[in-house]
Amino acid sequence: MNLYAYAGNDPISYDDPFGLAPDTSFADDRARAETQQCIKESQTCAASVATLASDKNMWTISTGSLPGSETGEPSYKFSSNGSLAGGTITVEGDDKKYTDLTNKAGYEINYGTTLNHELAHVAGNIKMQKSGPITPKHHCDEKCALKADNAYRKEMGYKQIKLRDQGQ
Amino acid sequence: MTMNGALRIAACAAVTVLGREPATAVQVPDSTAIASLVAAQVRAEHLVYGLPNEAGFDARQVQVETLTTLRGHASGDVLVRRASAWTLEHWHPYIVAVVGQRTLRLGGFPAPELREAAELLGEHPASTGGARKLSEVLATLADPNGAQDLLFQEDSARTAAARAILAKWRNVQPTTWPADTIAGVFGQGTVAIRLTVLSEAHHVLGRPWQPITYGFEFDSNGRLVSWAMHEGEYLR
Repeated sequence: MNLYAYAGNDPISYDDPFGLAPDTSFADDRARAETQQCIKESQTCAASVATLASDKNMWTISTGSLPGSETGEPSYKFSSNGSLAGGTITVEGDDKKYTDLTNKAGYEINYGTTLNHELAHVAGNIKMQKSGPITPKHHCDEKCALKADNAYRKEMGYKQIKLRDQGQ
Repeated sequence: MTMNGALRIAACAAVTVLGREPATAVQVPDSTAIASLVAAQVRAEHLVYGLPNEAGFDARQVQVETLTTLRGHASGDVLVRRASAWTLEHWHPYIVAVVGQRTLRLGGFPAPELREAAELLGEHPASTGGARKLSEVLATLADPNGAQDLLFQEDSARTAAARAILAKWRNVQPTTWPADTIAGVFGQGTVAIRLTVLSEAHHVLGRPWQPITYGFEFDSNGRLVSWAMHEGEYLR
């Protein structure tokens, strides 16, 4: 699959007013628009995007369809020596799914919250890699991402997710 | 509230299950082989959903841990392992059983090989109580959430937290949701067991509990003939 087809096989970078170039690209219009909105509205989101953009590897943000109740998922490439080599963040594109989940969960779940959450995972891993290879025991897990998740929710005026909800 | 899957397996079928380390006779399974098997499954599921596979999701991104060892009366001990795609933070885990050279794909896979697992365990209950216990073991092996934490109806007496979760389920469950039941008598035909387990989905935001109902049919000799599962919506 060529995630850069949208941009004529050239990662989008030239018209980026947020300094994402050259190492963050978008696979589709919505991913680009939602990321720009997220950066505009939230310092937390902007900080995560900046971390991706300053990384030497290519990171792509994509809108897709995820199984079950999933709304977002990062996928990573690893180099032969085990270090992160870029990857893709996929965010659910079905808005009805967000409505259903928000109603059931009792807290806001939308494209923006999901994007910010997954960005937090990736940005966290990029940072954590500086202190050692990413492993099952040394990576930005849910507890790690939840900090940025709630920081974003605070900025947006959304209800916080309680730590106990994550079993922490 | 936490009811670790491994402990749960050991607790729910004391007759057939050993919650202990593998005996020396058990061949130690190759974690890398299991990780490769699960990585291939993840890639196939990515393919179905059109998710990026260019990253070449591989065995390095799968963590394999041991849940427990079940005593198999037919083919030796059964080592039960959970495999998680740790880099995919929200991806469901998988359960794999290993007996000697044989590997069974169980919970999390599209078609859990539960009848094969039952045959390898070789436990043929002769009473409805024994069938219920075996059903709980099988429900654990088939759990789509990696058997992280499970609550069966009888667990309501265990802790206040377990009581609260089960009470919440009783309050919200649809009126048409079937109750646990045991029908039939061994030696006189088939025995059908229906049970609902609450399974905590650790990979889902908020760690919700999911009601899952299983139906098991045993023949008059206690062999598993068929089974089915119905996954309910998460309790929020």
